[in-house]
Amino acid sequence: MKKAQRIDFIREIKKSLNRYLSILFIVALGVAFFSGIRSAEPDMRISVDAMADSANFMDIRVLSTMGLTEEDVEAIRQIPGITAAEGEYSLDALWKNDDNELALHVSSLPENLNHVEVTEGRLPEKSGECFLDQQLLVTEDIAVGDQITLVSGTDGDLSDSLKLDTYTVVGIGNSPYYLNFDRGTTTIGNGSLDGFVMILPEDFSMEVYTQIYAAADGLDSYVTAGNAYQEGADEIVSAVEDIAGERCEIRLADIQAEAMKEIDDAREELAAQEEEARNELADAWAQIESGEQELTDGRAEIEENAASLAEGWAELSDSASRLSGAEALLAENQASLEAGEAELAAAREQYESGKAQAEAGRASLEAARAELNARGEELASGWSSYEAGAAELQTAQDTLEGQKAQLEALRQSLEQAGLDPEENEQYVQGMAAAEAAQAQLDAQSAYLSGVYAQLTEGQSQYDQGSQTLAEQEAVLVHSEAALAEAEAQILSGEREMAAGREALAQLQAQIESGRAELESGRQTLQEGEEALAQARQELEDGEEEIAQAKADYAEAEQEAEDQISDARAEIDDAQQEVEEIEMPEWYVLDRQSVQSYVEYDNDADRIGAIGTVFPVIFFLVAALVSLTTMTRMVEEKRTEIGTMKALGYSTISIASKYMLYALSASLIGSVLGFLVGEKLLPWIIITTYRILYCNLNTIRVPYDWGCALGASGAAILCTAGAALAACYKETTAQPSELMRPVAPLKGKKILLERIRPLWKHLNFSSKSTLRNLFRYKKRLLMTVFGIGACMALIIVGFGLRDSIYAVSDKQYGELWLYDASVSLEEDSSDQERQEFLEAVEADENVTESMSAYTTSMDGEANGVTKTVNLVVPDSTEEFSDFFVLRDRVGKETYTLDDEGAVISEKLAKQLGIEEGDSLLLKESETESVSVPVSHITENYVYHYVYLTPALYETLYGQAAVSNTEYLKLADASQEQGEALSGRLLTCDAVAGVSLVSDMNQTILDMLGSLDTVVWVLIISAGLLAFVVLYNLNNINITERRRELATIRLLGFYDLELAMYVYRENILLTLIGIVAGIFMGNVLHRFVIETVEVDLIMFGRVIHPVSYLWGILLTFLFAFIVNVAMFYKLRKIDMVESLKSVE
Amino acid sequence: MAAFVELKHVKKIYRMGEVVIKAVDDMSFSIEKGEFVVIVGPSGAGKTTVLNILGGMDRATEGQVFVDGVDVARFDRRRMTRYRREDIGFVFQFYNLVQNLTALENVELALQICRDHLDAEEILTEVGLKDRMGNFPSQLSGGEQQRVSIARALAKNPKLLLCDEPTGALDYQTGKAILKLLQDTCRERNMTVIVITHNSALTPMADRVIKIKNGQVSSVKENRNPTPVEQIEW
Repeated sequence: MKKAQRIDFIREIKKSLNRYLSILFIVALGVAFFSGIRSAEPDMRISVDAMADSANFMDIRVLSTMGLTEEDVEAIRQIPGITAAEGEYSLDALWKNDDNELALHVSSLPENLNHVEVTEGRLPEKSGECFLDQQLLVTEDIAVGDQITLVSGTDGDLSDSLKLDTYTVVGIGNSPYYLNFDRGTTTIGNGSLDGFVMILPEDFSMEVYTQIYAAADGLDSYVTAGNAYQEGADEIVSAVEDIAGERCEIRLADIQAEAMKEIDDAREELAAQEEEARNELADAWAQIESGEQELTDGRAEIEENAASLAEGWAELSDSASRLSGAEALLAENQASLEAGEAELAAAREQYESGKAQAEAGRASLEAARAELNARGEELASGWSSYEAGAAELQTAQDTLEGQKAQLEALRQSLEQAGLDPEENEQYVQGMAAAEAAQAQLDAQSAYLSGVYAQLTEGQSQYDQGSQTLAEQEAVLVHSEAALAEAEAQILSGEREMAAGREALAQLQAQIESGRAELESGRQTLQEGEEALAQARQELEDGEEEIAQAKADYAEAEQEAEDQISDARAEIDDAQQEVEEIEMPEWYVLDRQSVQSYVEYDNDADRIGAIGTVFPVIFFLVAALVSLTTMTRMVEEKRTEIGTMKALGYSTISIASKYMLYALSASLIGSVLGFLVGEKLLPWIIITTYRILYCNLNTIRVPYDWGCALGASGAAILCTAGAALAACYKETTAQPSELMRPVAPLKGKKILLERIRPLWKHLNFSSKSTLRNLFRYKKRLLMTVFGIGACMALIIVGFGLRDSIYAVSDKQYGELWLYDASVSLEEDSSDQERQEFLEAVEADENVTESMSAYTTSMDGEANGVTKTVNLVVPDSTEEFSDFFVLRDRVGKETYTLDDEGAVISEKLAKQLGIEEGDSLLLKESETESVSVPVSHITENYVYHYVYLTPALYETLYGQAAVSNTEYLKLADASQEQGEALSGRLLTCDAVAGVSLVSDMNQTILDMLGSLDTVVWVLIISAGLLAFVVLYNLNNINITERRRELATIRLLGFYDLELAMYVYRENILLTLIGIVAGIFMGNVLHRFVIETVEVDLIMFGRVIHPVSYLWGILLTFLFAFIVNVAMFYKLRKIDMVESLKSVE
Repeated sequence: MAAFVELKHVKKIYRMGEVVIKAVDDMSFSIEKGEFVVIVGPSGAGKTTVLNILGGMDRATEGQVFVDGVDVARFDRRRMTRYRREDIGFVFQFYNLVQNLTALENVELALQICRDHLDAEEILTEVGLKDRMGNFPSQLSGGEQQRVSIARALAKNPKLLLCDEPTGALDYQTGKAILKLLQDTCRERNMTVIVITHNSALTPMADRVIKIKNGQVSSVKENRNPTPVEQIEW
């Protein structure tokens, strides 16, 4: 380059500093954005890697199904390539700090790996000291020097694993294992870990390590998750996996040996216990037998008693019969006594009448005596016959007397025999005969009297009378004697009767006493009977007891047998199990298994994804603009080029000026761009992400020379290439041609003019604006593209916010109407649940509640499996008060019915199912049910499957038991929600309370960190819009300088002149905005789908307000550029119009 | 009768750093209404500066410029613009038509900002472009373009028609035709026309010839009997 050219070059830059700088800055901006965002992803990885390296973070970790031993650690240490390995004891335990129950991950303090960062205090040095997670300070009021007490979160005893349960906090800080707030999950507490606590290994009483950390050689020099690193890590992983088999065999043998010993012990113990049981049984049997003996004795006794009782009864009945015999006798005697008495009475009557007769006889005798005395003689003659009759009568009387004597003798003998003579037939007959004989005698006597009278009468009445009288007197005396006899007899009979009556009365008394005796005997017997019955009852009871005892014994024996055989079977099973113990398995994991690292990795990927699209757009616009500018510049300089050519400068020499111009501008711009961009943008992005990954203590933003070179190269190539192409076009033309002014762009009719009616109605300004627009097509496209890109970037920025906000707004505002959900302990009792429900009912802040069964399981369809949350409400009526099911696009609401399940949108999308398809709900690999999908509902967070209780019962054959309570609150603010949570957690049945406001806060926090990204996008968009519009306007004004000068000369006011240009700009801005809305929508969709995580669906819709903001901001940027342009337009010199065309 | 246009001791001094250039140095002249005036002088004599000052494109550093009795030199930016749009018609050496507008539209472009204007089609017919109204400048010859330019200037019905080398880019015959059009316009419409040229051959056709040299008026000659254009040869 000649001196003149150099001077020209420098002057050129000075003269067109605006243009030079605009190329420089637009290139700088493009390169900064491109390389900045592109290098954000690697920088994120480098930063985390730097932190990992400085903490000597493990490269791999080994877990085993059966724990790991010191030998395992040693074996891993021996693997070539492993620089360090160390075992870690760990468990999860609960820490109750005031009212809070926190789940902590308790692990042994690492020595050489995973160095923790101490922010306060120091590391534990002796037993009983601990190092606490800094994150706990967010919620807990704890400081160095305080003590924490751990309790077991399971049924197991904490002392099985830990030697102490109280530790003094000596240090607080972070572990490189955790990058973000998330400490992982656990099976205790409310299911998520709140933090970690590290203690010395000697405080653990565990036998085996929970896991082994190891670091590999040389991997520090690579970036985590990078290809080189991953290859190295994979190598080490496979090296560790190579020894895993051997180690596992050893471990298995150890475990089996130990288990076998235990089994032997168990067998011995079983034998001892069996012996004992048998002894006990034998004792019991002996007892039963003695009881039985007693019973037998008792039974014999009872039998005996019963026999004697029967005897007693027989005796009693004998006595009774005897008594009744006596009674009969008594009755008989009484009867005969009575008969005797009656006879006696008759006899007395007879005696009485006889006596009266006798007296009357005496009287008549006395009368007769007088007669007799008178008749004596008659009597004496009659007397002799009378004497004869009397003698006969005497004989008869003698016979009778002899009979009577005989009777008397009989009577005496009878009476001697103690028998009643009346009862003696002989006697009675005798008596009767005697009586009859008496009667006969009496008749004979009467006959004698007749004969005497006849005799007397017949011979001498006197004699006879005297005789009869004498006879009669004799008879009378006789009869009087007989009467006296009879009287004596009656009297003795009466005495006898009295004696008989006395005897009878005696007998009666005897009978009565016998009866009383009998009665008392009966009573005694009765009592005896009762006693016997009781004894029998007792006996029966005893028998029953014995039977029971026997049954018990049998049962006990059976039980003992069963238990023993069970125990034996168990031991056998155990032995079998031990024999069959599966080979322990090692899980060799690398950093990709560390949750927060994976999340971070995903985030880096997302930034990477954004980095693939956004900067390209930016870069494209920048390249196009600088290209246009350069082309324009070369075109402007055609006369100069022609002159140079005419002067004989070579094409290269001429072109070099423009090339150099473009090169220097784009080179400086590129260098500036990547120097600033690669530092600033990754720094902003990583700093933003540090809100989430608070443990990321290192930010590394090294220059990515590859990226810088690529971006710069492309920018320089574009600009310089444009210059070259333009130069080529101009320099190949003939100088003479170049010297002539370039024919101005010809005006021509545009398509719109063909539509006459429309065109006619346009005013003059619109017509000229439209024509101008289509005249400069390149500019139109460039401007539309630039403004469109600006608009797109802004609405993507706002759209991102909208999409994430939709999660908060829609999910927590429109779809989930409840404010809190309470999960209940699986094993809580009905009473505890009832207490809880009452507490809910009574709580002032709770307005409505709904019980539901919720669980987590796998949902599968088309070979894809996702974890889903199953929700089965107790009643479908309340359900719609708590959950809204609807179509996202059509807003059609669904109700939960028994036809099928309602599943969430993202789940449906990921599983590739539509309404009417079916979904496999898997509880485990083997248990699964297929359920038809009736509707797909709008949902943003997690995957949900909703079932009616009836459908659940149909599917699972059992009713769903509610374990979750959804609550609606009167005051759902965070503060009130937490207060409620605290109140409810005091119920035994409550396992955890999750507040929708908390979840919402998480989303809002996420939005907070995203705001930075939005601002970056908006500022970038603004810069882009400004640079593009300014540059294009600049070109426009320069190109049309003459036209504008003429118009001004024609008397257009400044504003009118500006409007002449602005009308085009406004129209272009409008078209650009419309284009931007389309571009932005596509871009937004792409970004959202790239950024979205598995479990969350971001909103797909950009809010109208965001469009409005986009439009307003784009207009604002356009306005600012146009205002800047106004001053440029004002400065247009009218004299320009007079000048000749250059 | 007072002069329609009168310059009194007008000075225009450009300062470019240390250098002070006196483009117009104490210039005074006057022009009557309805005159056809030719201002002639060599390159750099200050012709264009005078035109700029008269046309309201530039302001005199010193002195007064009366047009129709008003001192234009005292106008502010806005009054100056109004002065241009209401009172002045411009005819350029390179026509300065807006390429994107048809002949008619170019005229309309000027008219849309002017209150008291003539009909565009009528004026175009008058300048002989009745059939070419819908054509774009690129479809017109140089002379036709200059006619459009004149029509655009006339349609505004200005007080003063300023023409800057109107024939400079035209061939001889066409140039003559244009000059004829200007002269006719002056006569027929009683329009004050000022033509600025370096070509002294045109002087005979003017009512008044003002010669300029080194920023000063060297002579003013009134021509009682101007020669019709057709008779002038150069």
